[in-house]
Amino acid sequence: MSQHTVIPFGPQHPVLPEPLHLDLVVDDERVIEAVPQIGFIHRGLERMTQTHDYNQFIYIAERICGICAFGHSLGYAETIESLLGVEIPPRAEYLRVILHELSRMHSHILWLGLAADAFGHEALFMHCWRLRERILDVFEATTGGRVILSAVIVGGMVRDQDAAMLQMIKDTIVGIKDEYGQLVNTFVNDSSIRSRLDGIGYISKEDAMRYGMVGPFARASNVNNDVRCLGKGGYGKLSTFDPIMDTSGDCFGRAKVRALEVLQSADIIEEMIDTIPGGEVAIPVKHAPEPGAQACNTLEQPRGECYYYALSNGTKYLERMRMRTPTSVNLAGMAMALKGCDLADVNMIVLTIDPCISCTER
Amino acid sequence: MDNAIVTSLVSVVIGTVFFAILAPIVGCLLDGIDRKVSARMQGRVGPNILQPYWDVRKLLLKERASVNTTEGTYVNAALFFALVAGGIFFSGGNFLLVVFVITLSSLFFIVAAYSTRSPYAEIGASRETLQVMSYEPMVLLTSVAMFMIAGTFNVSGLFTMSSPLICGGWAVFAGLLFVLTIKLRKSPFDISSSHHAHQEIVKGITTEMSGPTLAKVEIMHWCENVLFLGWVGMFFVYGGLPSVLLGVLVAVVVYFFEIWIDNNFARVKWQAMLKWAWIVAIVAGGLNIAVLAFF
Amino acid sequence: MGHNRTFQDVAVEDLLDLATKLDKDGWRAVQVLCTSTDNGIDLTYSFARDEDLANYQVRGVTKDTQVPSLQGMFLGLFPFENEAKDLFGVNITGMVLDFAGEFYQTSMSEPMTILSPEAKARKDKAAKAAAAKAAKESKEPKDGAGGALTEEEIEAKVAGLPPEKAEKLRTALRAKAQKAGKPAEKPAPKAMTEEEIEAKVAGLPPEKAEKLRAALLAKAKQASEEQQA
Repeated sequence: MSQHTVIPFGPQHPVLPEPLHLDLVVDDERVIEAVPQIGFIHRGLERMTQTHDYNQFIYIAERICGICAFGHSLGYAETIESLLGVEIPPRAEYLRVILHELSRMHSHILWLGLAADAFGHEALFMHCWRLRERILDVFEATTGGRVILSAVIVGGMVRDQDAAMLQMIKDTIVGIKDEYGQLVNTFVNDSSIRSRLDGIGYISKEDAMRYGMVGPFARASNVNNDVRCLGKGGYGKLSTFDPIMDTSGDCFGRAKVRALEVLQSADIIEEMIDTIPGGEVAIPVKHAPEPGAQACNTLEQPRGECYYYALSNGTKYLERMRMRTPTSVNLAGMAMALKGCDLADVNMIVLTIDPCISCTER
Repeated sequence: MDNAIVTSLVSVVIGTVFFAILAPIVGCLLDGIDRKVSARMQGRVGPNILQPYWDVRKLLLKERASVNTTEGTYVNAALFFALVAGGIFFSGGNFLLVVFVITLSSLFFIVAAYSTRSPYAEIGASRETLQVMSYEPMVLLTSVAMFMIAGTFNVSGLFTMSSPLICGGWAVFAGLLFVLTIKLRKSPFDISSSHHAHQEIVKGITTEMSGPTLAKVEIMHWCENVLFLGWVGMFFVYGGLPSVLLGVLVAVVVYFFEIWIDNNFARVKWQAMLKWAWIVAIVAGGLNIAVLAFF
Repeated sequence: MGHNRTFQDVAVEDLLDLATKLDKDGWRAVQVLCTSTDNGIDLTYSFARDEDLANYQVRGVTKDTQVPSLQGMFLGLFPFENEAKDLFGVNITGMVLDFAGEFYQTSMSEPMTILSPEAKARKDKAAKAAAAKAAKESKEPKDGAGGALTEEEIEAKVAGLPPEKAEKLRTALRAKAQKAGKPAEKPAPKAMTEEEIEAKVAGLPPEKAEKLRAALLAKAKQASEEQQA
C-alpha cells in the first residue's frame, strides 16, 4: 500500500538557480506527475517600451537575465537594426560574435558547475566556477562589466577592442582549454557521475520535435535547431560550423553537448580573432522607425533559440517589443521528462534544461 | 556478581561523562579540519578550524521554533544514547552493546524527523532508515569477527591479545571502511542529510530542526564520528599502551582518506548504496568469518 | 542570412486548420505574442521549419472572440497562451494545460493592456496632431475652391441673421476675403524715430548700446524707404 505525497519543489530550493515551482506528486521517491508553475519573478519588462525609447531599452533588455545578458542585448540590437534597415560595420559583427561566444562559454561552464553540485560533487562545482572566473576577468578587461556588459548599442558596439586586447582574449581561451579538458574528462569518465546521468530523463527525437524543444536540450535528442547554422551576422563568416549533436537523449547527452560546445566556442573565438577586419565599430542611429513597421529576429543563445519581435508606431518608443526565450518552450519538455523519474533525479532533470526562469518571465 | 555489575556500571558512567566532555571537542576539531582540507582540495581558502564550534554556539543561542515538542525530546534521547554508547566503548565495555545502543540512538533521530510530518523531513528520514539498513549487517559481522578473533566482546579484552584484530580480520576491516563512508555521511553516500544533500531534499532529515535542537544534532554527529573512528582504531590495539597511539594514527589517516573520497565522488542513489553495502558485507564479512571459522 | 522571415494575416476561424496543416508539414511552433492595439489584441503566431520563420497575425481580437488553443498539437505553447490569458485578457479556449489565470500572479489583471501615463500622453498628443493636420487638409480645399467671397456673396450669407451677428459675420468674411485675395504680407514696420531709438538703448552697456542703435537705425531707414515706396 503506497500513498501519494505532494512535495513542493521550489521556488526556494537550494538546487534551483532560479525560482520555479514544481508540485511533485510522489509515491515513495518515484515521481508520478510534475506540474510546473512560474511567475515569481515577472517584472513586466516588456512594458517598459512605453517609457524608454529604443536606444535606452537596450539596457533593460540586458538586465532580463544575468547569465544571458549579452545575448539579449545582441538579439535586441539586431532586431532594431532590422526594423530600421541599417547595416552595421563588419568589425562590429565580428566583435559581437566574439563576445557572444565568450558568453556561451561562461554560461556552459556555470551550468557544468551547477550540475556537479546537483549530483553532490562539490569539488567539481568549485573547480568549474573557478575556471569561469577567468572568463569573467576577460569580460571585465574588455567591456568593464563582469556580468552585465553593456557593450552593444543599436548600430554597433560601444567601444573597439585593439589588437593587444584581442590577443589577451586568445591567450586566456587557450589557457583555459587544458584545465577544462580535465574537468570534462571527470564528467565523462567518473562512474558515480555516470550513474546519476545515464538514462535519466530520456526524451526521444519525436517527442523533442513535438514539444518544440530548442537548444542543447534538443540537440542531445538529435534535433537540430541551431540558429548559428543559418549564418547571420558574424556567424556567416565562419569557415565551417557544425552543431554538436548527440543521440542519447538523456541527461548525460545534454551534459556532453554543453561540455563540447565550450570547446567549439573557443575555436570560433580564435578563428574570429584571427580574421577580424579593421574599420569602425558603430554607425550613428538616431531616426525613428517607420510607423507600423515590424521585424523579428532569432539568435542562438546558450540555452537555445531566442526569438525577438519589434513593432513600431512611428516614434522612438517601440509599440511592442517581445523577447521569447528558449526556456519557455523547454518547460513543456521538462514537465514530460519528469514523469516517472526518481525524486533524486528531479533536480538533475530540471537542471539539464538549463532553466533561466528570469528570462522566461521577464 | 553484584560487584562486577556495579563496577561495570560505574565505569560506564565515568566513561560516558568523560566522553561527553572530550568527544565534542575532538569531534568539533575533526569537523573543522574536514572543512578546511575539503576547501583546499577545491581550490578555496576554507573556514577557520573553529568554525563548527562557532556555528553550534550560535545555534544554541537561537530561539526555539520547533513544529512540536516531541521532536526535541527525541533528539535529546538520541544524543543521550550516543553519549552512552561512546562511554561504554571507551571504558572498555561490550562492543555488541555499543553497536545496539548507537543504533538505538539513530532510530530516535529518525523518529524525531518523522514526528515533524514535513515532506522533506520524511524523505530524509526514510533515506536515513535505508542507510541504517545498509550498514548494520557489516557492523554486526564486525562484532562477530571480533568475538571469533579475540574471544570476547569486551573492548578491554583487546589489550590482553598478542596481535591486533587487523591480523585476522583485515577483510572485515576493509568492509568496515566501506560502510564508514555511510556512517560518516560522506559522498558518495551522503544521501540523507549531511551538509550537502540540500541539492535534493533541502536539508533532509534535519529540515525541520533548528536552534538548540539542531545544535544537539551537530554535537551528536561529532560524538558519533569520534566513536566510529574509535572502531577503526580498535583494529590496531593490542598488548600495551603504545598500540593506542597506532590506533589513533590509523584513525586519522582513515579520516583523511574519507575526506579525499568525499571530494572525488558524486552522490549515488539509495538503491546503489544498499546494494553495494550488502555485497561488501556479505563478501568481505562473510568470507572473513568463514575463514576464521574453518581455519 | 538568418531565417527567411514572413508576416501574414490570418483570421481567427482559420487558425486551427492552419495549425493542423503546419503540424502535418513538420513545422515547429516558436511562440505566441500579443500586441495591445486600439482595436483589440493582435496575436502573432510564429512557426519555424529549417530556414523559414513564418509569422501569422490575427488582428483585433476582443474579449468576445474565442481563440482556439493550439496546445493539442503544440504543447510547447502552453506558457505563451497562459500568458496571453493572464496579461492581455485574451479568451483562449480548450487549453491542455490551463492555469486558470494563475500562471502569472500579478496585482492587476491584464497589465499589458494598460498604458503608462507617459505613453498615454504621447499617444494623445500624436492623435491630436494627426487630427488637426487631417482637419486642416480637409478644410483648405473647401475654402480654396470657393476663392475670395464677393460682396454679394457676403450679403447673401448674412441675410436672415440678427443685426449684431450679421455685422460680425460680415466683417469676418470681408477680412477673410481680403486675406484670401491678397497674399499674406507682414504689416509694414513702423519707422522708429530718433527719440524712440535713444529710449531703447538707454541703460545698456556702451558696446551693446552702439550695436543696438546701429541696427535700429538701419531698420528705421529701411522701413521709411518702404513706406515711401
